[in-house]
Amino acid sequence: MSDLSNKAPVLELQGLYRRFGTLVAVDHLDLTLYKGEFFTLLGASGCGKTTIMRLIAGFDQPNAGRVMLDGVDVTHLPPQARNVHTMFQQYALFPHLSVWDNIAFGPRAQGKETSDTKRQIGDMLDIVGLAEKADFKPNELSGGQRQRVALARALINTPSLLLLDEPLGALDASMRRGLQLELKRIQRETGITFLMVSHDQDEAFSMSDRLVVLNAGRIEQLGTPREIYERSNSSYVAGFVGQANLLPEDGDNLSLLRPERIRLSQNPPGSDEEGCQGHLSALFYQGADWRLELTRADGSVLFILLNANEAPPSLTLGDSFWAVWKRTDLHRLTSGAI
Amino acid sequence: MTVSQLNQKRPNKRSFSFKTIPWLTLWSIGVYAILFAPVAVIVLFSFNDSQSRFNLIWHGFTLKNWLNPFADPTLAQAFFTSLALALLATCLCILLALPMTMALERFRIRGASALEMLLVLPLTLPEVVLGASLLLLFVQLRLPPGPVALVIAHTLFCLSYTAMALKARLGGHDWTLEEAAADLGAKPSRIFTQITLPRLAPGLLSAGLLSLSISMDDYVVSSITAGSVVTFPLRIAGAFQRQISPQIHVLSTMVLLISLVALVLSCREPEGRTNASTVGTDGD
Amino acid sequence: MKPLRNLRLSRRAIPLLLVAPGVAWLLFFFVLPILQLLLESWSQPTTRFGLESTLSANPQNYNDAISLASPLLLRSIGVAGLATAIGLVIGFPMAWWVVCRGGRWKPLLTGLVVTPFFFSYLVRTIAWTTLLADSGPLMQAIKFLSLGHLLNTIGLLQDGRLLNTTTALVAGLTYNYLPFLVLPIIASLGTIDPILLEAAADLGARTPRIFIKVVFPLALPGIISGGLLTFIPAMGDVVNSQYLGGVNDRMIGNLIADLVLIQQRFSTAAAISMLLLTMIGISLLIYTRKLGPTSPGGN
Repeated sequence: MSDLSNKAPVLELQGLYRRFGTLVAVDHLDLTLYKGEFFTLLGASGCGKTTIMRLIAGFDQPNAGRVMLDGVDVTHLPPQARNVHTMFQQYALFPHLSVWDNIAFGPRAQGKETSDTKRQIGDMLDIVGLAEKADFKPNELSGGQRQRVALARALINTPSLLLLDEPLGALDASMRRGLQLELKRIQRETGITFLMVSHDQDEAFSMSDRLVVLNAGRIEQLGTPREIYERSNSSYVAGFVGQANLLPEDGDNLSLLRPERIRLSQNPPGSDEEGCQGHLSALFYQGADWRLELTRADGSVLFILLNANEAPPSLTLGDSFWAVWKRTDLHRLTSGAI
Repeated sequence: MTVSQLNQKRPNKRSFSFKTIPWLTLWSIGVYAILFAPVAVIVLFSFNDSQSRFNLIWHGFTLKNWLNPFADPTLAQAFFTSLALALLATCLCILLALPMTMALERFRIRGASALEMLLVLPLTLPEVVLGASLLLLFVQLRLPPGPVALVIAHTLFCLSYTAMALKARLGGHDWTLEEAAADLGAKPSRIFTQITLPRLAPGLLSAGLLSLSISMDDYVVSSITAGSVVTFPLRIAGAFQRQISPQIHVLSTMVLLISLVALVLSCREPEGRTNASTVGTDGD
Repeated sequence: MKPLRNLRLSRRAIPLLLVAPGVAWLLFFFVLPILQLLLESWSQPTTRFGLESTLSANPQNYNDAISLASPLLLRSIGVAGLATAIGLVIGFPMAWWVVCRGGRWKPLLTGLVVTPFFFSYLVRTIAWTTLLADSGPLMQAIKFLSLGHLLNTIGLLQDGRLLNTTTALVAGLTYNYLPFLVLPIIASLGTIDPILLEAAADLGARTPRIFIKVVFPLALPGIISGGLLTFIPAMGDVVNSQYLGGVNDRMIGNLIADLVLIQQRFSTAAAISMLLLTMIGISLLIYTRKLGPTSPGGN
C-alpha cells in the first residue's frame, strides 16, 4: 500500500506505554492509521491488544505516550469527548431500549438529534439490513442481528475511527464468513477507518488492509496480510499466522517454508529445487486437501498441505517420499531462533 | 476534579470514571455508621454500670452485666422461653419446608408456581393482620392463646423464610450424585442420610438460623397469640416503662454474636463465584 | 426421596407426598384464617363483646372501619411512603457504591447491611430511643450547633424534642426497613453489565445522562421491589410508632392491634385488615403486571 503516505493520518499512537503493576501491557508502541483503511491488531490472549483499544477509546489512561486523533492529542480526554466509537465484543446493547432507540442513543447523547437524524437512522438500518426490526428489543434478535445493531449504533455518529473488539467472536463459525463480508462492505460504503482487535488469523487476513502482529505489548510485524504470511520476519509471527516449517540454514538462521509450498514426489528435487526424504508419519484427509507429516531420518518433522488434485493416487502411513520445494519459496527469517 | 484528572492521578484504577465520585464513599460510610449506631449503643450499654432501673444513661464501664447475664430472673426466663419456642418452631419449619422445597426443585409439579406464591404470601401480610387472623382461628378452634398457639404462629411465619432460604440453596444442588448413588444400588433412605443431608447441612444450618433469629425477634404476632406466655421481646416491651436492665443488652449482644458466628460458618462453604464487578479486565 | 424403586409407590405420588404436609399447614393456618377474616368482616357480633357473630351482607363493619381508620390509613401511607422515599435517597447511592467499588469486599459489604438486623427489632428500636432522647447524642449535637430553633421551625423537632415525634417515627421506619430496600437494589445493580456504561460513555453520553437513561431503567425492578418490601411492612408497622412516634403518630397497625387485643372488636378489625390487604394486593398486582421481573424497566 504505497499510496498510504498521501492519506491523512487518523490515529497516531506515540510511545504508548501502559503497565499494570509489574505487568507491561503496552510497551512503547508507535502506530499510525490512515483514513479509510481497515486495520487489525492481531495477537494471542494477553498480548495487550484490548488494552490498546481501551486506551484509544478513553476507558483507560496510559502511563506514558500519546494518543493523537485527527492530529489532536486526546490522551487525557474522557470517552465522551473522543470521536471514536467502539463495537463491543458482546455488543453491549442497552437491553431496555429498542433497536431504534439503541441507534438513536448516540445522537441524542451528543445533543445532535435533528429532523435529519430520523432519516439517518433509517438509512443506517437499511445499510445493516434491519429496517423491519426497528421496534424490537435486543433480546428478540439473533446474534448476527445484534452485531449489526451494535455496528449501526457505533457508526451513526460518523466517528473518525471505529474500534471493533473481536467483532465476530460471539458468533458461531457458520455465520462468521457472511458477516465478515458484510463488515467489509459497510466499511467501504461508509469510508470510516476501522480498527479491529482479533486473535483469529483467518478473520484478520480476510478483512484487513493492513495489520500488526502483537506480542507482549510490542509490534512483532506490521504489513499487509500477504506480507505477513509470506514474508514473516520472525518465528513467532511465522508460527502465529499459520503452520510453518522452520528449516535451519547456515549458522543460527532459519528459513520459513509454508506447508502448501511443498509437493510429494518419488524422485529427488530438480535443479532449482530443494528437498528431503522421509516417511509419512501422520495423514489427515480434509476433503479439499490433505494434511501430512513427513518424518525424516534425523527425526525432524515436516508439515505438508497437499491440494487434493496434487496428491499421489495412494497415500499410506509409512510410505517413503521425497518432499520437494522451490528454492524461491524459502523465506529467510530476519530475526530469532525458535 | 474532572474525570480525566482523576484517572490521570490513579492510572492503576481502571474502573470507569463516574464510579469514582468521591463523595459516594463518604456517603456510604455514613450510611453504614447509621446502620450500626444502635448496635454500638446496645453493645456499649451492655457494659454500662447502670445506676437506675433504666439502662439508658451511661454511668461507667463494668463487666458485671456480662458476668451475670441471667441476673434478672424474669428476663432470663423469658429468654429461655423464647429460645425453646424458636427451636421448636424451627424444627417444625424444617420438617415442613425441606420436603416441600426438595419436591419443588427436584420434580415438575403441577401448580408449582401457585405453591411458591403460597409460600411467599405470608411475608406480604402485615404482622398485625397475620396475628389477628390466627387469633380468630384459635378462637374458633377453642384453642386459647398460649404456648401451642405461639408455636403454630411462629412456625407459620418462619416457614416462608425457611422455605425461601432452602429453595435458594437447593436451586444450585446437583442431583447427579443422588442418581449415581441410586445407580449403585443405595436405598433411598440411605441416599438421603448419607448424601443429600450432609450436602444440604450448610443450607439447613443457615435456613435454621434465619428461622431462629426471626422467631426470637417476633413481637407483634406474639403479642396477639401469646396469652400468658412471656417471650423475650414481650418481656422487654412489657418492662419498657418500668425497667430496662442491662441484661437485655447483654443477652441481645449474645444472640447477635452467636448468629454472626453461625452465619459466617454457614457461608463459608458455598462462597463460590467471586463477583467480578470491576470493569475492564484485559480480555484479550 | 426420589428413586423409591423398592417401595410400591407410584413415582408421581412422591412429590405430592413431599409437598402435602407443608401445603396442609399453609392452607390450614394461613389461607383458612384469612378467609375467616374475610367472613368476619362481613359479620355482625351477636353480643356486644362476644366473639360469636353471624354473617350478613350489611357493610356496617366497613362503614365503621372507614370512619375509624381512614385518617390512620392515610397517615400510615404517608409515613410509610416518606420512609421509603428517604430510604431510597439514602440507600441507592450506597448500593451503587457497594456494587461498583466493593470489588472483592462486595459480599462482606452486603452482609454488613444486614448484620445490625440480627439484633432484636425491639432492642434496636429501644436503642434508638437512647440515641434520640433529650439527653442523647443527637439532641446534644443539635444543642451544641444551636440548630434547635431552626429544626423546630421547619417541624423536624416538636417542642424542642426529637423522641416521640413524627420525625423519629419516620427515621425509625426508614432505619428498620433499610436492608429490605438496599438488598434488592444491590442485586439489580449487580446485574448491569458494566460494559453498558462504557458503551454509553463511548457514544458520547455524560454521567447524568448515563445514569438516567441506562442505570436507572435497568435498576428499576430492584428499586420497585425494594420499595414494596419497605413500603408494605412499614405501612403495617406497630413497633416504631409505639416507641419512637408521638401521641398523634398512631398507625393503622396500632389500631388493629388495639381493636383485637383491647376492645375485642373483631369484626371492625377484620374489615380494616381487609382494606389494608386490598391496598397491598393492588400494589403487588401493579408491580407484577407492569414491572414483573421478566421485563426489566420501561422505555
